[in-house]
Amino acid sequence: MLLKTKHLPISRLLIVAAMILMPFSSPIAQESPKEEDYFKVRKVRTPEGIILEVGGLATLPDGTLGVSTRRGDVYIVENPTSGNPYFRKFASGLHEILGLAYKDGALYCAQRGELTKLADTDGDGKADVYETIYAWPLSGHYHEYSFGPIIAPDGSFFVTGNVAFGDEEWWRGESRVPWRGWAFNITEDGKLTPWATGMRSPAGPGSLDGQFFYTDNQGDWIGSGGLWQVNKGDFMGHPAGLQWTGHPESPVKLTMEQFRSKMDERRVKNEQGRYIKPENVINEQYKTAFDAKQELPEFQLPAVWLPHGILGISSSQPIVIPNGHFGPFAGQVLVGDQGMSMLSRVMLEEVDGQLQGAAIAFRSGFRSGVLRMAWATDGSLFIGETNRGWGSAGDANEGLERLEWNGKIPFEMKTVKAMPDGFEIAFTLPVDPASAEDLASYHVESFTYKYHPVYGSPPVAMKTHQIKGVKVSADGLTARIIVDSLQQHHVHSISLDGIREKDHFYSLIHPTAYYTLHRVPQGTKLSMAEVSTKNSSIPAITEEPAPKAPASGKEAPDSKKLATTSKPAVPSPAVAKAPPTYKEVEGLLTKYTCVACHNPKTKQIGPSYADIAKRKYANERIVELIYNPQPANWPGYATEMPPMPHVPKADALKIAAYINSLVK
Amino acid sequence: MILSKFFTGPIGMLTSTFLLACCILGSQAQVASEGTIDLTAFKQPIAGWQVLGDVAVPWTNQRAMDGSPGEGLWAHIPKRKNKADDLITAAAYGDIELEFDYLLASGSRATVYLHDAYPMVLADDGSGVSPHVESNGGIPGYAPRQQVSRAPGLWQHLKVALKAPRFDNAGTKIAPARLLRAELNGIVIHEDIPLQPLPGRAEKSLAPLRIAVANGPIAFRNAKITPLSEKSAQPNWNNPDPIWVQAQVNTTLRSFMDIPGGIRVVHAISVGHPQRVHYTYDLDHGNLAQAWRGGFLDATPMWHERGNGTSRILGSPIYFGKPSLAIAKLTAPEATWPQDTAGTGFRPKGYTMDSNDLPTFRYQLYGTQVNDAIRPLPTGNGFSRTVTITGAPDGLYFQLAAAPSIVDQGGGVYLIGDKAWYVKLEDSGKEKPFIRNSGESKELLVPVHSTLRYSIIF
Repeated sequence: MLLKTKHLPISRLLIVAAMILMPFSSPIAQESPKEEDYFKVRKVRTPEGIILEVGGLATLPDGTLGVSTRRGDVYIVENPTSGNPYFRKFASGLHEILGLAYKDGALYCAQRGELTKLADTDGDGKADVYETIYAWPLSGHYHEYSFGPIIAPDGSFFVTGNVAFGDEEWWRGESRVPWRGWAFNITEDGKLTPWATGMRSPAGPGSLDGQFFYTDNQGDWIGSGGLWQVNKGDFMGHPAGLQWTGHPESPVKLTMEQFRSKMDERRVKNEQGRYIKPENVINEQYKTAFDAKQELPEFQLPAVWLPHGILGISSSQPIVIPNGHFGPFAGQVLVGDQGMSMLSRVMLEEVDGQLQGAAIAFRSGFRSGVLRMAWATDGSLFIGETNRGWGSAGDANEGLERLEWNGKIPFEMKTVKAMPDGFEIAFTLPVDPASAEDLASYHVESFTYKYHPVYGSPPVAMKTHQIKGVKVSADGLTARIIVDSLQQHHVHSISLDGIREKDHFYSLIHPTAYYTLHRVPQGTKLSMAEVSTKNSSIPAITEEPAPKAPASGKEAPDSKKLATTSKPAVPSPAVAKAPPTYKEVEGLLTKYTCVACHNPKTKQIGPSYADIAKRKYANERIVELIYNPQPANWPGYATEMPPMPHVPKADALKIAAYINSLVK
Repeated sequence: MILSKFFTGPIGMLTSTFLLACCILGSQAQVASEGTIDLTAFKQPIAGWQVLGDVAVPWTNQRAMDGSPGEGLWAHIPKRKNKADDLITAAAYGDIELEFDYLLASGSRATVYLHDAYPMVLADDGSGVSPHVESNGGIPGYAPRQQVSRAPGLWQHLKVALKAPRFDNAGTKIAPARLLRAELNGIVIHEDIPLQPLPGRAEKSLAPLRIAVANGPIAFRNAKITPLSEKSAQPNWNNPDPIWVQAQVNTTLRSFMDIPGGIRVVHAISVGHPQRVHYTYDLDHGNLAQAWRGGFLDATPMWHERGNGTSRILGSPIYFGKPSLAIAKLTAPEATWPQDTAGTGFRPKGYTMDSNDLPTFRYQLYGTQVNDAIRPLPTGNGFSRTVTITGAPDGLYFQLAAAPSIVDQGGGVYLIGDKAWYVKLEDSGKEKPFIRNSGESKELLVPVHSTLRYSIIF
């Protein structure tokens, strides 16, 4: 979806462009292509009655597709990319399968309680061997899902396991039995080696070019979802699994006692002696994951954050795009999301031995939450979906779909690389030089997340960066920007709303990428003589009358307005005018990630705006609830809304006014 | 006890005393607790009925029943084709809850006349699989919802909530009698059914309970009639649509499984069969956790929304106690059975499926390989279990049962618990099972080498 922010006067730019490019017809009339114009979502015709709450996908060497489900079934689908796929039930009765892998004629899958090998040895098309490779302990808590396996280069398996939650402290992940909250390795002959811990909800183990990666989901201690590389002995941040680091086989040495001596778990009781759920505190001294890493050496930061609510809310499987697939994106990584029913694209690079990179939206609009992916032999991508228990975008509870590229090159950022003085963006098609040389086409902000026992974190330390200059290559395929005050370990959102493609003046299909900048590379900086400093916009940084922004490390509630507008700041929500239309708030809803969970008319992860309007809250009350949601107001919604204290009050009131306009 | 008015005079006194003695042989005069029904509650005469301490259906002659003296139950055991009088309570009742245990021999059949007008069948169903109006628990027009009967010689439990018919002041019936609920062996077989009386039978607002035996023998105990408690529970309209898994073909489903004692089996697999008899196998111990007759599983708790990972059985179960190993190495026949798998090298290996989708479980124990195949009996009243052990190591025993009571019925047949189920040895090589004490309880063990085959019948 296009992010439309109002800080660039497009009309001015286009008039300028039209003057330069007079022979062409007015570009204003032409609509830019969208995702769906290049990547089509195809259905996989499935017989009625087969419930495909997909937990695992694996393409077999003969091109058939293995599908495992949360209902405990494994299907082999013949001709899966055709209009007439044929489903065979290969196995059934397993306990909530959440993965599938093929090796040497057999299928392997992680159920809740074991890694199981399924083999058809008598040739009737059904598994007759259900072999327990390894059965791990479970306490019987519903959240102890087990994911995988992925197959390591040596043929052994990795499985990851979710934590359970407390009884009284139902918000706090805990590891009741080994190896919940861990990744562990299992050999074919059933030997288990604990591998890494600090995981909370590792729904997306993945093998990326033979390397073990995984995604975790926002929750307590995990400020936002992200993509982590997994090395033996890593601690990813959630303390629950530290319960077992005393085990002689544990490669992680950090103990629970050491963790508690350095981190505040906020186990606080009220006057009645009952534990209080920790909530986000505005205006506090906080730690980031990087701060924690200074104190806990085994701490592993995500290679790439997937900003919550923008690039997903429940990250799932990562997968590499092989050579020859999906055109310019071959070699990059796609990550699924179970809540926003979308894929993100991750462009990884290594800087000084540190893995990092940018994430950008790729495709949304799947019918249910995306959990698994597998490449078909024709180069298209199977998407396995389920949302049961959590809700998602899309109008179905489960599904199996296929993403097909039409062979045409979409206008997108191809790569984003860190530079000693900023970033370099490579494009899939040449850019229009005037728009690319105009600093007003670019906007960079940075932020990070808190590391704390609260469920998730709002973006903090939000900062707008000045772009000092841009160097566009002669072929129009790269633009390198000089950005001031780069913030190490922070996410830098790089918005290129003003960039246009050279021939048709298309906008970028996805104009914003999010670069996790762990390391700034060494190297030659650009000199001012090489760059353009043209800037077509009116300086538009407005400030609300706000308390003094404190030194870094503290979060200010009304920090500098981020989305600089070209209009003067509106100090308070005034006057009874006509309430804003959807178009007028669309940008805000996207920017503040409301769209991750809400839709004007239909129930998604959260209630529709129309349903909220029916409650007839005053505008100010809606603002209060944005800052401090009350999940008890909405029984029947499985996922709680996190507090959103970073939404400026004026914007929140505007959103509230729009919502209330939906019901008379 | 009410003395019959027919007997007067000295001879009459002697006769009636003799009859009194016969009818209450061995019992002491007791004050019946409120609602308790025993033979004293019924109108005389009650020829053919006696108070006993225990009964047993011999395995080799299942149409018979042996009684032993004592008290606690009452039975009709036909001798030389004597008939049993109908049992009719002296008291008349309105809205009631009725419950009792009963025990049948093969071919036995009786009818309970609720409110002396509305029949319900008590019968040994033989090899019947589909319940019908004439089978155990059947009423005119309504077959029981599930096949949850028990084999001959085992106690069954019936619990009924009945609402009497309503009449206006003129005596016209304005509301029929209703069978609010009938539970057979813990499972609802009828719910909220309007009842029609036997043809020609007058209906009244108060009426006695009648029991008529067509074919003995039959025994009863723990019978109670109490006033109906008006519990009107509001329906919970938010309850989800049930998600049931039925086993029209052999079906397996793994889930967490809760069993009595607050135990959650986390590596459990349930296997259902079209014979309507099913079991749950505990993969952490290589042993049965429960078996049941009737419907297979209710998977709503695991498949509605996030779920809690468990499924619930739909039918009427028997349990096998706290999960423990089926096979153990004992240093001596009286050595304690291991409480867990520590030191045994126990390792689950999963299962293989035959061409009918029936699993054979496999695990490692003491360095050897065990295969465990449990197959439904064609009559649907239990299982045949075959265990094979490779390498035939020494010192292994198989625990066939652990229960408060185990009775040797001869011929390799053992009656387990409070007449809850049978173990029948089919092939134990040359080894003989033995019963031993285990604390307050008992265990039935047999030394095992390479093969053991036995049946579980209920």
